[in-house]
Amino acid sequence: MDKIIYYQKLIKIGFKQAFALKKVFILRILFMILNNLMLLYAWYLMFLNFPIIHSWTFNDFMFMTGLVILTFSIWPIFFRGIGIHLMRLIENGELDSFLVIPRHVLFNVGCSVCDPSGIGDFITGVLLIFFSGLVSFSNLPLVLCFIFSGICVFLALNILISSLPFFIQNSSDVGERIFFMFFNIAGYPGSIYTGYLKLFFCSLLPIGFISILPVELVHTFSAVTLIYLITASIFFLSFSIFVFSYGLKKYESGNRFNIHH
Amino acid sequence: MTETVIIAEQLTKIFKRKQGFFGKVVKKKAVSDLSFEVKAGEIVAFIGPNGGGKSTTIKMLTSILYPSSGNASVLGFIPWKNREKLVRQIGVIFGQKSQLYYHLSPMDSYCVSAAAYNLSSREAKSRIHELAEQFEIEDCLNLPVKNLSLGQRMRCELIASLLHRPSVLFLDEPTLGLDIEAKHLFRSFLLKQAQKEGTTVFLTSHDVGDIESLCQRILLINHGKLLLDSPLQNLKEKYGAGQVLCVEKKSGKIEEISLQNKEKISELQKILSAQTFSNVFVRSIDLETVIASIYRK
Amino acid sequence: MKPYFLAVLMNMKEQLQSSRGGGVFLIRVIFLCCMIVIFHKFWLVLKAGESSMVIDPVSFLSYLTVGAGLQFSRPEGRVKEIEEEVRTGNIAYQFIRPVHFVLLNFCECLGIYLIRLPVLFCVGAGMIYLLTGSFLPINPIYVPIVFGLLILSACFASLCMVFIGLSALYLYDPLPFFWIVQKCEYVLGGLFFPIIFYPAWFQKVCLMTPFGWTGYGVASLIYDFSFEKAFTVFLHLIVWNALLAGALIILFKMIRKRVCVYG
Repeated sequence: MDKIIYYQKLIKIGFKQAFALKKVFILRILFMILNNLMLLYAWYLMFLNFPIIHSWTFNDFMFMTGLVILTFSIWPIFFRGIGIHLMRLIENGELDSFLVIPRHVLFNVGCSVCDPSGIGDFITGVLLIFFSGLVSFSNLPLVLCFIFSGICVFLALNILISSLPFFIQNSSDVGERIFFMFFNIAGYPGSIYTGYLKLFFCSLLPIGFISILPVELVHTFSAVTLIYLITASIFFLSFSIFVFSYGLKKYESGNRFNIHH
Repeated sequence: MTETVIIAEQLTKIFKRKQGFFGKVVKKKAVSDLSFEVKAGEIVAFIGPNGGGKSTTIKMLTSILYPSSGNASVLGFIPWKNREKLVRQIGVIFGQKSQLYYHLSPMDSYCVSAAAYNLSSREAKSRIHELAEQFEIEDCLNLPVKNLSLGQRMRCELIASLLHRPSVLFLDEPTLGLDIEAKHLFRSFLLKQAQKEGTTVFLTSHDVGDIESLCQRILLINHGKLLLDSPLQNLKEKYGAGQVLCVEKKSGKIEEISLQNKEKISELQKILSAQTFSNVFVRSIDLETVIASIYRK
Repeated sequence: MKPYFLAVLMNMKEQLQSSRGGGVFLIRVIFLCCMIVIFHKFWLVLKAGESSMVIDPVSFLSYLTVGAGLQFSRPEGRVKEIEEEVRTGNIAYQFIRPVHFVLLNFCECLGIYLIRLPVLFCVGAGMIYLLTGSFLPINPIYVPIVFGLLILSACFASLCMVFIGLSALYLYDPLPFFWIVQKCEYVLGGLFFPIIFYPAWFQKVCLMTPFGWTGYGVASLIYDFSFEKAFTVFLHLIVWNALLAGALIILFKMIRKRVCVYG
């Protein structure tokens, strides 16, 4: 209970900090929506030429994009600190001030920053899923399951990447690139991945949990796949937290003087 | 009998640095076989030259770093094993590393800290006002941190670290970058606080003023090894901090005679009666010089 | 001119050092390979759905490789660095140095491109050979010409980044604008599929913006080379570069004035 209150307060203050610069706050939200819609429009033009891409219609693609963007948006809104911010802190040895607070370092750093652009992502994500026509009242719980597993997967990938600097020096820029690479790959219609590539994306590198399996499940439901989806994403998340905690033992504090935030 | 709150036993930390992506590993021993104890209520200065291992030690005691070998216990907890439990009871300030949110008021930051330490908001509020009153910064509590002066900010930081009534306070270079006035204020507040609540203070500083005005005991380390562990008073006496009589001879050579040394007095009489001097003056040797001379050894 | 030349060289060198830019560069190379595999899959899927494909796989892949190579060579971090310098006012310290801030930053970006582009280009060509079994559909003699035009595209992208970074003084948070510019390059430049897939009216829109030329214009030469076309692309790139450079110089003068007045 105490923990929930604490993180709630931390996230609230992150918002407050972001909102202190009102113009930036609004600008980022609006431009992020514009940014997403521009890309969607280009795909729309593409689908005009090829109405069906390996059994996927534009509506399927819209649903997938919405899911990718929505689950991704949880990161900038609530856990923006995980990722490049955390990697820089580790690299520069500035994690100290978080280590002396009696809370889990990972989430403490993660929740302490908020990027309003995520709200723009969130709004686009919700709109896209809603207007994709794939969601009805009856499969809403299913969609919520997808969102849950998507959040777990993105978070897990992010935490794994954020642990890189514990093991390899000067890897923060590399890590940031890798994360956006994953996000980029997840942005292509999932139906183009077949065979081994699909297997790979649905197991070791679970991007397919967001971009391939959900659309398939909406069309042809399979309880086994759904259970696999959820348990595997929870497993990935716990595994990533374990890796981070292991890496934390290797943390080397530095003496650079810097004020965070 | 006062209890021992900090125990370090043969604490060792070796840093492994890898150069680049595929580079080779370089090992560096930052702290080696360091052992000491600190009793409850003591104010201890932990000093040493840059790179001597001070910060590394303090970071191991505050659970930030894992030691390579050795044992430590703070308030009965092993820092790197019981991190959350331990840091609930200690306060830490790293000079120049802010725990406050830059664009928001200190009050906002305190609310989050209070929640981190499980203080109820009523408890937190009364504690904040108590401390703010004592530190004379009640009017700054609701201004954004970016608008505060460095001195005010430092006091706000101190409040953030004292919010949960820590029984041990670790301070790493707390007065770095403060002006003289702010330093004086900071010291007097710290001293008042420590005496009032019986807080144990473990402090590193390059500022001899901090040490002289706050500490009762000095731990001096260099190259990761403990060189000296003595009460401040003993140190002054043993290494002759105090006053020295200087006799400038006609040849231009200056001879220094410590007046605590009885044998030297006859020598002094000899010089004075021979009238071979051109000038006699008294020079005071401060703690800084003493410490510098120990470093050089 | 010497400091600028050195800036180019230094940044080229940094890309090859494993301890500095090398790791990131390696990831970029891997990313490009991944993208080519995805593009290949993409083409196969498109081909399966449409019997009359307007473009063959090698052309499609080599086009996208050039476009993606241009994207993955971009030193995006530079925008944030310049922005921070402007916002914190540290830029004032740059004025006392005897080099021109804009030109220096431009050269630094260019240095990075000069190493990344050819490497990515070669790796891409190798990947395409692995996947399809054929070489790039361009006469090797023309490669240097395409490459020269690519560098011009890179110049435009570098100028764009410096411009957005500097405009931090007026916009406060220029990052959102950078996202949009990036998306424009992506969409209008046809970087994730050739703009020939767009409806005719949208193709015209694309070619009215600089992005149509920096992206599609240059990249399409790889499968459809003619001197005439190359010359048109060249002219467009020169004009757009000149326009942007002019705007940048004016912006920089304004900033200089403002920084000098307000400190």
